[in-house]
Amino acid sequence: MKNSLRKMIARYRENLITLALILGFLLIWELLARAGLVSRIIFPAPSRILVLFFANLAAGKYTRDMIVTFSRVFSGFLIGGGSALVLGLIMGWSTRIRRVLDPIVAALHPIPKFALLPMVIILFGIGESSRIAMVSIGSFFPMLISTMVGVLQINPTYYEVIENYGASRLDTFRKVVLPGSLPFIIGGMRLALKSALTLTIGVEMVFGNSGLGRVLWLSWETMRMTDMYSVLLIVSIIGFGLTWSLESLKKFLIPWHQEVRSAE
Amino acid sequence: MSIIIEDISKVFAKDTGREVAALDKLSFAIEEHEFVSIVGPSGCGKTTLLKIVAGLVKPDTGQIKFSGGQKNPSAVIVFQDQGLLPWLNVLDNVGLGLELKGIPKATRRTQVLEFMFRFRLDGFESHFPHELSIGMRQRVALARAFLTNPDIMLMDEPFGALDAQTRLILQEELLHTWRAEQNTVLFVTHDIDEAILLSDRIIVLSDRPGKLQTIIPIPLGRPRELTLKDQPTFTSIRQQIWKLLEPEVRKELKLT
Repeated sequence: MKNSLRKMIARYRENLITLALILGFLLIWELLARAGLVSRIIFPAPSRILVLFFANLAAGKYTRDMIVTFSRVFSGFLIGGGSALVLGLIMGWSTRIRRVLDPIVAALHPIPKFALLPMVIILFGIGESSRIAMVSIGSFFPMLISTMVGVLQINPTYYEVIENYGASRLDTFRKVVLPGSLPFIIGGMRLALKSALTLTIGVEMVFGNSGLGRVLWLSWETMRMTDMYSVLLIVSIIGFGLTWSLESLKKFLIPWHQEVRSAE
Repeated sequence: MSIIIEDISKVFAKDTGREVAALDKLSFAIEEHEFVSIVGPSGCGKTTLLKIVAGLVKPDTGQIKFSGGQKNPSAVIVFQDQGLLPWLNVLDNVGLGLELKGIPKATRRTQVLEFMFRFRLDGFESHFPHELSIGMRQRVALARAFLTNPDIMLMDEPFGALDAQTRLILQEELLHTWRAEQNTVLFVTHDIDEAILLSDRIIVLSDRPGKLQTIIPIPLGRPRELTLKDQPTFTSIRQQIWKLLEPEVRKELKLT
Protein backbone atom coordinates (compact mmCIF):
# COMPACT_ATOMS: atom_id res chain seq x y z
CA MET A 1 0.00 0.00 0.00
CA LYS A 2 2.70 2.38 1.09
CA ASN A 3 4.78 1.15 -1.78
CA SER A 4 2.15 1.82 -4.43
CA LEU A 5 1.67 5.34 -3.05
CA ARG A 6 5.39 5.91 -3.36
CA LYS A 7 5.28 4.65 -6.94
CA MET A 8 2.41 7.01 -7.72
CA ILE A 9 4.37 9.93 -6.35
CA ALA A 10 7.45 8.92 -8.33
CA ARG A 11 5.41 8.66 -11.51
CA TYR A 12 3.63 11.99 -11.19
CA ARG A 13 6.46 13.85 -9.48
CA GLU A 14 6.74 16.59 -12.12
CA ASN A 15 2.97 17.10 -12.23
CA LEU A 16 2.88 17.38 -8.45
CA ILE A 17 5.66 19.96 -8.51
CA THR A 18 3.77 21.97 -11.17
CA LEU A 19 0.66 21.89 -9.03
CA ALA A 20 2.61 22.87 -5.91
CA LEU A 21 4.17 25.83 -7.76
CA ILE A 22 0.78 27.12 -8.89
CA LEU A 23 -0.81 26.64 -5.48
CA GLY A 24 2.19 28.27 -3.77
CA PHE A 25 1.95 31.29 -6.04
CA LEU A 26 -1.80 31.64 -5.42
CA LEU A 27 -1.29 31.20 -1.67
CA ILE A 28 1.29 33.99 -1.49
CA TRP A 29 -0.97 36.22 -3.58
CA GLU A 30 -3.91 35.42 -1.29
CA LEU A 31 -1.91 36.21 1.85
CA LEU A 32 -0.49 39.45 0.41
CA ALA A 33 -3.96 40.59 -0.68
CA ARG A 34 -5.56 39.75 2.68
CA ALA A 35 -2.80 41.46 4.61
CA GLY A 36 -3.30 44.52 2.45
CA LEU A 37 0.32 44.46 1.27
CA VAL A 38 -0.78 44.70 -2.38
CA SER A 39 -3.63 46.82 -3.68
CA ARG A 40 -6.85 44.83 -3.32
CA ILE A 41 -8.35 46.74 -6.22
CA ILE A 42 -5.64 45.71 -8.67
CA PHE A 43 -4.87 42.30 -7.14
CA PRO A 44 -8.04 41.04 -5.48
CA ALA A 45 -7.50 37.84 -3.48
CA PRO A 46 -7.64 34.75 -5.74
CA SER A 47 -10.36 33.22 -3.58
CA ARG A 48 -12.51 36.28 -4.19
CA ILE A 49 -11.83 36.17 -7.93
CA LEU A 50 -12.77 32.51 -8.05
CA VAL A 51 -16.00 32.99 -6.07
CA LEU A 52 -17.06 35.83 -8.35
CA PHE A 53 -15.90 33.95 -11.42
CA PHE A 54 -18.11 30.97 -10.69
CA ALA A 55 -21.01 33.17 -9.60
CA ASN A 56 -20.81 35.18 -12.83
CA LEU A 57 -20.37 32.08 -14.91
CA ALA A 58 -23.42 30.47 -13.31
CA ALA A 59 -25.43 33.65 -13.82
CA GLY A 60 -24.49 33.55 -17.51
CA LYS A 61 -22.71 36.89 -17.43
CA TYR A 62 -20.05 35.82 -19.93
CA THR A 63 -22.05 33.30 -21.93
CA ARG A 64 -22.95 35.55 -24.84
CA ASP A 65 -19.41 36.92 -25.18
CA MET A 66 -17.93 33.44 -24.95
CA ILE A 67 -20.15 32.28 -27.79
CA VAL A 68 -19.22 35.33 -29.88
CA THR A 69 -15.49 34.85 -29.30
CA PHE A 70 -15.72 31.13 -29.93
CA SER A 71 -17.56 31.58 -33.21
CA ARG A 72 -15.00 34.17 -34.35
CA VAL A 73 -12.13 31.82 -33.51
CA PHE A 74 -13.79 28.99 -35.40
CA SER A 75 -14.95 30.90 -38.46
CA GLY A 76 -11.51 32.46 -38.84
CA PHE A 77 -9.85 29.09 -38.27
CA LEU A 78 -12.10 27.36 -40.81
CA ILE A 79 -11.70 30.02 -43.51
CA GLY A 80 -7.99 30.75 -43.02
CA GLY A 81 -6.87 27.29 -41.90
CA GLY A 82 -9.04 25.53 -44.47
CA SER A 83 -7.69 27.47 -47.43
CA ALA A 84 -4.15 27.12 -46.03
CA LEU A 85 -4.62 23.36 -45.81
CA VAL A 86 -5.52 23.12 -49.49
CA LEU A 87 -2.75 25.47 -50.59
CA GLY A 88 -0.20 23.82 -48.27
CA LEU A 89 -0.91 20.38 -49.72
CA ILE A 90 -0.55 21.75 -53.25
CA MET A 91 2.65 23.63 -52.43
CA GLY A 92 4.12 20.63 -50.67
CA TRP A 93 3.31 18.26 -53.51
CA SER A 94 4.14 20.38 -56.55
CA THR A 95 7.72 21.62 -56.72
CA ARG A 96 6.81 24.02 -59.48
CA ILE A 97 3.97 25.74 -57.64
CA ARG A 98 6.11 25.83 -54.48
CA ARG A 99 8.91 27.60 -56.34
CA VAL A 100 6.47 30.22 -57.58
CA LEU A 101 4.65 30.87 -54.30
CA ASP A 102 7.34 30.25 -51.67
CA PRO A 103 8.98 33.71 -51.99
CA ILE A 104 5.61 35.41 -51.61
CA VAL A 105 4.83 33.37 -48.51
CA ALA A 106 8.30 34.07 -47.12
CA ALA A 107 7.73 37.81 -47.60
CA LEU A 108 4.25 37.90 -46.06
CA HIS A 109 4.70 35.44 -43.22
CA PRO A 110 6.94 37.56 -40.93
CA ILE A 111 4.58 40.55 -40.90
CA PRO A 112 2.99 40.77 -37.43
CA LYS A 113 -0.60 39.99 -38.39
CA PHE A 114 -2.01 42.57 -36.02
CA ALA A 115 -0.29 45.30 -38.02
CA LEU A 116 -2.63 44.48 -40.90
CA LEU A 117 -5.70 45.65 -38.96
CA PRO A 118 -5.93 49.14 -40.51
CA MET A 119 -5.58 47.72 -44.01
CA VAL A 120 -8.14 45.02 -43.33
CA ILE A 121 -10.60 47.64 -42.02
CA ILE A 122 -10.12 49.66 -45.20
CA LEU A 123 -10.78 46.54 -47.29
CA PHE A 124 -13.61 44.97 -45.29
CA GLY A 125 -15.13 47.90 -43.39
CA ILE A 126 -15.83 48.32 -39.68
CA GLY A 127 -17.84 45.20 -39.18
CA GLU A 128 -17.80 41.52 -38.45
CA SER A 129 -16.17 40.66 -41.78
CA SER A 130 -13.04 42.63 -40.83
CA ARG A 131 -12.76 40.72 -37.54
CA ILE A 132 -13.18 37.37 -39.24
CA ALA A 133 -10.68 38.42 -41.92
CA MET A 134 -8.07 39.21 -39.26
CA VAL A 135 -8.57 35.87 -37.53
CA SER A 136 -8.43 34.07 -40.89
CA ILE A 137 -5.14 35.74 -41.78
CA GLY A 138 -3.79 34.77 -38.37
CA SER A 139 -4.74 31.11 -38.87
CA PHE A 140 -3.60 30.98 -42.46
CA PHE A 141 0.19 31.10 -42.21
CA PRO A 142 0.90 28.61 -39.40
CA MET A 143 -1.44 26.14 -41.11
CA LEU A 144 0.08 26.72 -44.55
CA ILE A 145 3.67 26.26 -43.44
CA SER A 146 3.00 23.22 -41.23
CA THR A 147 1.05 21.50 -43.99
CA MET A 148 3.69 22.21 -46.62
CA VAL A 149 6.49 20.97 -44.37
CA GLY A 150 4.31 17.95 -43.57
CA VAL A 151 4.15 16.97 -47.23
CA LEU A 152 7.84 17.71 -47.82
CA GLN A 153 9.05 15.49 -44.97
CA ILE A 154 7.32 12.37 -46.39
CA ASN A 155 9.93 9.74 -47.18
CA PRO A 156 10.36 9.71 -51.00
CA THR A 157 10.42 5.91 -50.96
CA TYR A 158 6.68 5.88 -50.20
CA TYR A 159 5.99 7.65 -53.50
CA GLU A 160 8.09 5.06 -55.33
CA VAL A 161 6.30 2.20 -53.58
CA ILE A 162 2.89 3.43 -54.57
CA GLU A 163 3.91 4.41 -58.08
CA ASN A 164 5.45 0.98 -58.46
CA TYR A 165 2.02 -0.55 -57.79
CA GLY A 166 0.51 1.65 -60.50
CA ALA A 167 -1.09 4.33 -58.33
CA SER A 168 -2.93 7.23 -59.97
CA ARG A 169 -2.45 10.83 -58.78
CA LEU A 170 -5.58 10.50 -56.67
CA ASP A 171 -4.29 7.23 -55.15
CA THR A 172 -1.00 8.92 -54.31
CA PHE A 173 -2.86 11.75 -52.64
CA ARG A 174 -5.15 9.47 -50.63
CA LYS A 175 -2.54 6.90 -49.69
CA VAL A 176 0.65 8.92 -49.24
CA VAL A 177 0.34 12.72 -49.34
CA LEU A 178 -2.59 13.15 -46.96
CA PRO A 179 -1.86 10.45 -44.35
CA GLY A 180 1.87 11.18 -44.47
CA SER A 181 1.42 14.86 -43.70
CA LEU A 182 -1.40 14.39 -41.17
CA PRO A 183 0.81 14.66 -38.05
CA PHE A 184 2.09 18.00 -39.29
CA ILE A 185 -1.41 19.10 -40.31
CA ILE A 186 -2.65 18.48 -36.78
CA GLY A 187 0.38 20.38 -35.43
CA GLY A 188 -0.53 23.21 -37.80
CA MET A 189 -4.14 23.15 -36.56
CA ARG A 190 -2.85 23.63 -33.05
CA LEU A 191 -0.73 26.63 -34.01
CA ALA A 192 -3.51 28.06 -36.18
CA LEU A 193 -6.10 27.79 -33.37
CA LYS A 194 -3.73 29.48 -30.94
CA SER A 195 -3.12 32.22 -33.45
CA ALA A 196 -6.86 32.56 -34.11
CA LEU A 197 -7.56 32.94 -30.40
CA THR A 198 -4.82 35.57 -30.04
CA LEU A 199 -6.09 37.56 -33.00
CA THR A 200 -9.72 37.31 -31.89
CA ILE A 201 -9.03 38.65 -28.40
CA GLY A 202 -6.77 41.37 -29.80
CA VAL A 203 -9.23 42.51 -32.42
CA GLU A 204 -12.08 42.48 -29.90
CA MET A 205 -10.00 44.62 -27.57
CA VAL A 206 -9.39 47.40 -30.07
CA PHE A 207 -12.56 47.24 -32.04
CA GLY A 208 -15.23 44.95 -30.82
CA ASN A 209 -18.86 45.33 -29.96
CA SER A 210 -18.83 42.12 -28.00
CA GLY A 211 -16.68 39.11 -27.15
CA LEU A 212 -14.30 38.23 -24.37
CA GLY A 213 -11.65 40.67 -25.59
CA ARG A 214 -14.18 43.45 -25.38
CA VAL A 215 -15.16 42.44 -21.82
CA LEU A 216 -11.49 42.30 -20.90
CA TRP A 217 -10.80 45.78 -22.18
CA LEU A 218 -13.99 47.27 -20.66
CA SER A 219 -13.20 45.77 -17.28
CA TRP A 220 -9.75 47.31 -17.36
CA GLU A 221 -11.18 50.68 -18.39
CA THR A 222 -13.71 50.59 -15.55
CA MET A 223 -11.28 49.00 -13.10
CA ARG A 224 -13.41 45.88 -12.56
CA MET A 225 -10.43 43.67 -11.94
CA THR A 226 -12.30 40.50 -11.00
CA ASP A 227 -13.96 40.59 -14.42
CA MET A 228 -10.58 41.03 -16.05
CA TYR A 229 -9.08 38.07 -14.23
CA SER A 230 -12.19 36.01 -14.94
CA VAL A 231 -11.87 36.61 -18.66
CA LEU A 232 -8.17 35.77 -18.56
CA LEU A 233 -9.09 32.54 -16.80
CA ILE A 234 -11.74 31.72 -19.40
CA VAL A 235 -9.38 32.45 -22.28
CA SER A 236 -6.67 30.24 -20.84
CA ILE A 237 -9.19 27.46 -20.22
CA ILE A 238 -10.36 27.74 -23.85
CA GLY A 239 -6.74 27.58 -25.06
CA PHE A 240 -6.03 24.59 -22.87
CA GLY A 241 -9.24 22.91 -24.02
CA LEU A 242 -8.39 23.39 -27.70
CA THR A 243 -4.90 21.92 -27.23
CA TRP A 244 -6.28 19.02 -25.26
CA SER A 245 -8.97 18.18 -27.82
CA LEU A 246 -6.37 18.24 -30.62
CA GLU A 247 -4.15 15.87 -28.65
CA SER A 248 -7.08 13.47 -28.31
CA LEU A 249 -7.87 13.84 -32.00
CA LYS A 250 -4.25 12.95 -32.73
CA LYS A 251 -4.39 9.68 -30.82
CA PHE A 252 -7.54 8.83 -32.73
CA LEU A 253 -6.45 9.92 -36.23
CA ILE A 254 -2.78 8.91 -36.24
CA PRO A 255 -2.36 5.93 -33.94
CA TRP A 256 0.72 4.98 -35.97
CA HIS A 257 2.57 8.19 -35.28
CA GLN A 258 3.43 8.45 -31.59
CA GLU A 259 5.30 5.18 -31.42
CA VAL A 260 7.01 5.66 -34.76
CA ARG A 261 8.80 8.65 -33.34
CA SER A 262 9.71 7.02 -30.07
CA ALA A 263 11.00 3.97 -31.94
CA GLU A 264 13.37 5.99 -34.09
CA MET B 1 9.06 -13.01 -68.49
CA SER B 2 12.55 -12.57 -69.86
CA ILE B 3 14.30 -9.20 -69.67
CA ILE B 4 16.92 -7.77 -71.98
CA ILE B 5 18.92 -4.90 -70.54
CA GLU B 6 20.54 -3.09 -73.42
CA ASP B 7 23.21 -0.43 -73.22
CA ILE B 8 21.80 1.27 -70.14
CA SER B 9 23.57 4.42 -68.89
CA LYS B 10 22.45 6.87 -66.25
CA VAL B 11 24.05 10.04 -64.91
CA PHE B 12 22.61 11.92 -61.94
CA ALA B 13 23.02 15.67 -61.54
CA LYS B 14 23.62 16.54 -57.90
CA ASP B 15 22.38 19.74 -56.25
CA THR B 16 25.99 20.86 -56.06
CA GLY B 17 26.18 20.81 -59.85
CA ARG B 18 28.49 17.80 -59.81
CA GLU B 19 27.46 14.90 -61.98
CA VAL B 20 27.57 11.33 -60.77
CA ALA B 21 27.57 8.51 -63.28
CA ALA B 22 25.58 5.61 -61.87
CA LEU B 23 25.53 3.14 -64.76
CA ASP B 24 27.69 2.88 -67.85
CA LYS B 25 26.49 1.02 -70.95
CA LEU B 26 25.24 -1.97 -69.05
CA SER B 27 23.89 -4.90 -71.04
CA PHE B 28 22.79 -8.38 -70.01
CA ALA B 29 19.74 -10.61 -70.25
CA ILE B 30 17.61 -12.52 -67.78
CA GLU B 31 15.71 -15.63 -68.79
CA GLU B 32 12.14 -16.32 -67.88
CA HIS B 33 11.80 -17.85 -64.37
CA GLU B 34 15.43 -17.11 -63.73
CA PHE B 35 16.74 -15.87 -60.39
CA VAL B 36 19.58 -13.42 -61.06
CA SER B 37 21.52 -11.52 -58.42
CA ILE B 38 23.55 -8.37 -58.85
CA VAL B 39 26.55 -7.79 -56.60
CA GLY B 40 28.95 -4.87 -56.65
CA PRO B 41 30.45 -2.23 -54.38
CA SER B 42 28.21 0.39 -52.77
CA GLY B 43 27.09 3.14 -55.08
CA CYS B 44 27.60 1.19 -58.29
CA GLY B 45 24.06 1.89 -59.44
CA LYS B 46 22.40 -1.39 -58.50
CA THR B 47 19.32 0.29 -57.05
CA THR B 48 19.14 2.64 -60.03
CA LEU B 49 19.10 -0.35 -62.36
CA LEU B 50 16.14 -1.87 -60.50
CA LYS B 51 14.25 1.42 -60.69
CA ILE B 52 14.96 1.62 -64.43
CA VAL B 53 13.63 -1.90 -64.97
CA ALA B 54 10.55 -0.98 -62.90
CA GLY B 55 10.03 2.13 -65.04
CA LEU B 56 10.41 4.51 -62.09
CA VAL B 57 13.59 6.06 -63.50
CA LYS B 58 14.31 6.84 -67.15
CA PRO B 59 17.74 5.79 -68.46
CA ASP B 60 19.88 8.30 -70.37
CA THR B 61 20.76 5.76 -73.02
CA GLY B 62 19.68 2.24 -73.87
CA GLN B 63 16.47 0.38 -73.30
CA ILE B 64 14.84 -2.47 -71.44
CA LYS B 65 13.09 -5.07 -73.56
CA PHE B 66 10.70 -7.68 -72.28
CA SER B 67 9.76 -10.97 -73.86
CA GLY B 68 7.04 -10.88 -76.45
CA GLY B 69 7.63 -7.17 -76.96
CA GLN B 70 5.43 -6.45 -73.96
CA LYS B 71 5.63 -2.78 -73.04
CA ASN B 72 4.66 -2.63 -69.39
CA PRO B 73 4.96 -5.93 -67.60
CA SER B 74 4.21 -5.88 -63.89
CA ALA B 75 7.50 -5.44 -62.05
CA VAL B 76 7.29 -5.06 -58.30
CA ILE B 77 10.13 -3.73 -56.16
CA VAL B 78 10.77 -5.07 -52.67
CA PHE B 79 12.68 -2.29 -50.89
CA GLN B 80 15.40 -2.76 -48.28
CA ASP B 81 13.26 -1.04 -45.68
CA GLN B 82 10.76 1.82 -45.57
CA GLY B 83 8.76 -0.08 -48.16
CA LEU B 84 5.68 -0.34 -45.94
CA LEU B 85 3.41 2.64 -45.46
CA PRO B 86 3.56 3.39 -41.72
CA TRP B 87 -0.05 4.60 -41.59
CA LEU B 88 -1.51 1.37 -42.95
CA ASN B 89 -1.87 -1.72 -40.79
CA VAL B 90 -0.45 -5.06 -41.95
CA LEU B 91 -3.69 -6.11 -43.62
CA ASP B 92 -3.87 -2.92 -45.69
CA ASN B 93 -0.15 -2.92 -46.44
CA VAL B 94 -0.27 -6.48 -47.79
CA GLY B 95 -3.40 -5.63 -49.77
CA LEU B 96 -2.04 -2.34 -51.15
CA GLY B 97 -1.11 -3.72 -54.58
CA LEU B 98 -4.49 -5.37 -55.04
CA GLU B 99 -6.33 -2.30 -53.79
CA LEU B 100 -4.60 -0.11 -56.36
CA LYS B 101 -5.56 -2.60 -59.04
CA GLY B 102 -9.14 -1.90 -58.06
CA ILE B 103 -9.95 -5.31 -56.62
CA PRO B 104 -13.02 -5.05 -54.37
CA LYS B 105 -12.50 -5.18 -50.64
CA ALA B 106 -14.21 -8.50 -49.95
CA THR B 107 -12.27 -10.44 -52.63
CA ARG B 108 -9.09 -8.73 -51.59
CA ARG B 109 -9.51 -9.62 -47.96
CA THR B 110 -9.76 -13.33 -48.70
CA GLN B 111 -6.61 -13.26 -50.83
CA VAL B 112 -4.69 -11.11 -48.36
CA LEU B 113 -5.56 -13.36 -45.44
CA GLU B 114 -4.49 -16.42 -47.43
CA PHE B 115 -1.09 -14.86 -48.19
CA MET B 116 -0.68 -13.63 -44.65
CA PHE B 117 -1.21 -17.20 -43.53
CA ARG B 118 1.37 -18.43 -46.04
CA PHE B 119 3.92 -15.95 -44.75
CA ARG B 120 2.88 -16.76 -41.17
CA LEU B 121 1.69 -13.23 -40.55
CA ASP B 122 -1.79 -14.30 -39.44
CA GLY B 123 -2.89 -12.63 -36.25
CA PHE B 124 -1.01 -9.43 -37.07
CA GLU B 125 -3.69 -7.94 -39.36
CA SER B 126 -4.28 -4.82 -37.28
CA HIS B 127 -0.65 -4.19 -36.31
CA PHE B 128 1.16 -1.16 -37.66
CA PRO B 129 4.62 -1.60 -39.24
CA HIS B 130 6.39 0.10 -36.33
CA GLU B 131 5.02 -2.54 -34.00
CA LEU B 132 6.81 -5.29 -35.93
CA SER B 133 10.44 -6.38 -36.00
CA ILE B 134 12.38 -5.59 -39.18
CA GLY B 135 12.28 -9.27 -40.11
CA MET B 136 8.50 -9.33 -39.90
CA ARG B 137 8.22 -6.08 -41.82
CA GLN B 138 10.21 -7.61 -44.66
CA ARG B 139 7.92 -10.64 -44.64
CA VAL B 140 4.99 -8.25 -44.98
CA ALA B 141 6.78 -6.62 -47.93
CA LEU B 142 7.41 -10.01 -49.53
CA ALA B 143 3.80 -11.11 -48.99
CA ARG B 144 2.58 -7.89 -50.60
CA ALA B 145 4.87 -8.33 -53.60
CA PHE B 146 4.07 -12.02 -54.21
CA LEU B 147 0.34 -11.38 -53.73
CA THR B 148 0.16 -9.25 -56.87
CA ASN B 149 1.88 -12.10 -58.75
CA PRO B 150 4.13 -9.82 -60.81
CA ASP B 151 5.92 -10.93 -63.99
CA ILE B 152 9.15 -9.64 -62.52
CA MET B 153 10.23 -9.35 -58.93
CA LEU B 154 12.85 -6.70 -58.24
CA MET B 155 14.47 -7.02 -54.85
CA ASP B 156 16.66 -4.24 -53.51
CA GLU B 157 18.63 -5.79 -50.67
CA PRO B 158 15.45 -6.95 -48.98
CA PHE B 159 17.39 -8.61 -46.18
CA GLY B 160 20.12 -5.98 -45.91
CA ALA B 161 18.86 -4.50 -42.65
CA LEU B 162 18.41 -7.84 -40.90
CA ASP B 163 20.67 -9.52 -38.39
CA ALA B 164 22.59 -12.53 -39.71
CA GLN B 165 20.36 -15.20 -38.19
CA THR B 166 17.06 -13.66 -39.28
CA ARG B 167 18.55 -13.22 -42.71
CA LEU B 168 19.22 -16.96 -43.05
CA ILE B 169 15.66 -17.80 -42.08
CA LEU B 170 14.18 -15.34 -44.56
CA GLN B 171 16.47 -16.54 -47.35
CA GLU B 172 15.13 -20.04 -46.83
CA GLU B 173 11.61 -18.71 -46.78
CA LEU B 174 12.19 -16.79 -50.01
CA LEU B 175 13.63 -19.89 -51.73
CA HIS B 176 10.59 -21.82 -50.60
CA THR B 177 8.10 -19.24 -51.89
CA TRP B 178 9.94 -18.69 -55.13
CA ARG B 179 9.97 -22.42 -55.85
CA ALA B 180 6.19 -22.29 -55.88
CA GLU B 181 5.76 -18.97 -57.68
CA GLN B 182 8.63 -19.03 -60.21
CA ASN B 183 8.60 -15.31 -60.95
CA THR B 184 11.59 -13.88 -62.79
CA VAL B 185 13.73 -12.31 -60.07
CA LEU B 186 16.40 -9.63 -60.16
CA PHE B 187 17.96 -9.50 -56.72
CA VAL B 188 20.41 -6.85 -55.51
CA THR B 189 22.61 -7.72 -52.55
CA HIS B 190 25.91 -7.02 -50.81
CA ASP B 191 26.01 -10.47 -49.37
CA ILE B 192 27.97 -12.87 -51.61
CA ASP B 193 26.71 -15.97 -49.77
CA GLU B 194 23.14 -14.78 -50.19
CA ALA B 195 23.66 -14.24 -53.91
CA ILE B 196 25.14 -17.74 -54.39
CA LEU B 197 22.51 -19.46 -52.30
CA LEU B 198 19.56 -17.88 -54.09
CA SER B 199 20.63 -17.35 -57.68
CA ASP B 200 20.92 -19.15 -60.99
CA ARG B 201 23.41 -16.54 -62.13
CA ILE B 202 25.28 -13.66 -60.51
CA ILE B 203 26.05 -10.39 -62.28
CA VAL B 204 29.19 -8.75 -60.87
CA LEU B 205 29.34 -4.99 -61.40
CA SER B 206 32.37 -2.72 -61.17
CA ASP B 207 32.78 0.36 -58.99
CA ARG B 208 30.88 3.51 -60.01
CA PRO B 209 29.83 3.96 -62.76
CA GLY B 210 28.49 0.41 -62.71
CA LYS B 211 29.80 -1.63 -65.63
CA LEU B 212 29.33 -5.30 -66.26
CA GLN B 213 32.36 -7.18 -64.99
CA THR B 214 31.44 -10.84 -65.13
CA ILE B 215 28.44 -13.10 -65.14
CA ILE B 216 28.89 -16.18 -62.98
CA PRO B 217 26.55 -19.16 -63.39
CA ILE B 218 25.81 -21.08 -60.20
CA PRO B 219 25.96 -24.82 -60.94
CA LEU B 220 24.06 -25.84 -57.83
CA GLY B 221 20.89 -27.88 -58.08
CA ARG B 222 17.53 -26.98 -56.61
CA PRO B 223 15.86 -27.14 -54.16
CA ARG B 224 18.66 -25.61 -52.14
CA GLU B 225 19.24 -25.56 -48.45
CA LEU B 226 21.45 -23.60 -46.11
CA THR B 227 23.82 -26.56 -45.69
CA LEU B 228 25.01 -25.93 -49.26
CA LYS B 229 27.25 -23.24 -47.89
CA ASP B 230 29.80 -25.81 -46.68
CA GLN B 231 30.13 -27.54 -50.04
CA PRO B 232 33.37 -27.06 -52.00
CA THR B 233 31.54 -25.72 -55.10
CA PHE B 234 29.94 -23.05 -52.96
CA THR B 235 33.14 -21.98 -51.25
CA SER B 236 35.10 -21.84 -54.49
CA ILE B 237 32.44 -19.59 -56.10
CA ARG B 238 32.54 -17.39 -53.02
CA GLN B 239 36.30 -17.00 -53.41
CA GLN B 240 36.00 -16.35 -57.11
CA ILE B 241 33.47 -13.55 -56.58
CA TRP B 242 35.43 -12.01 -53.72
CA LYS B 243 38.57 -11.92 -55.87
CA LEU B 244 36.59 -9.94 -58.45
CA LEU B 245 34.95 -7.67 -55.95
CA GLU B 246 37.80 -6.91 -53.58
CA PRO B 247 39.69 -4.52 -55.89
CA GLU B 248 36.39 -2.75 -56.73
CA VAL B 249 35.51 -2.31 -53.09
CA ARG B 250 39.03 -1.00 -52.40
CA LYS B 251 38.61 1.43 -55.26
CA GLU B 252 35.32 2.62 -53.83
CA LEU B 253 36.99 3.11 -50.44
CA LYS B 254 39.96 4.87 -52.12
CA LEU B 255 42.31 2.28 -50.65
CA THR B 256 44.31 1.66 -53.80
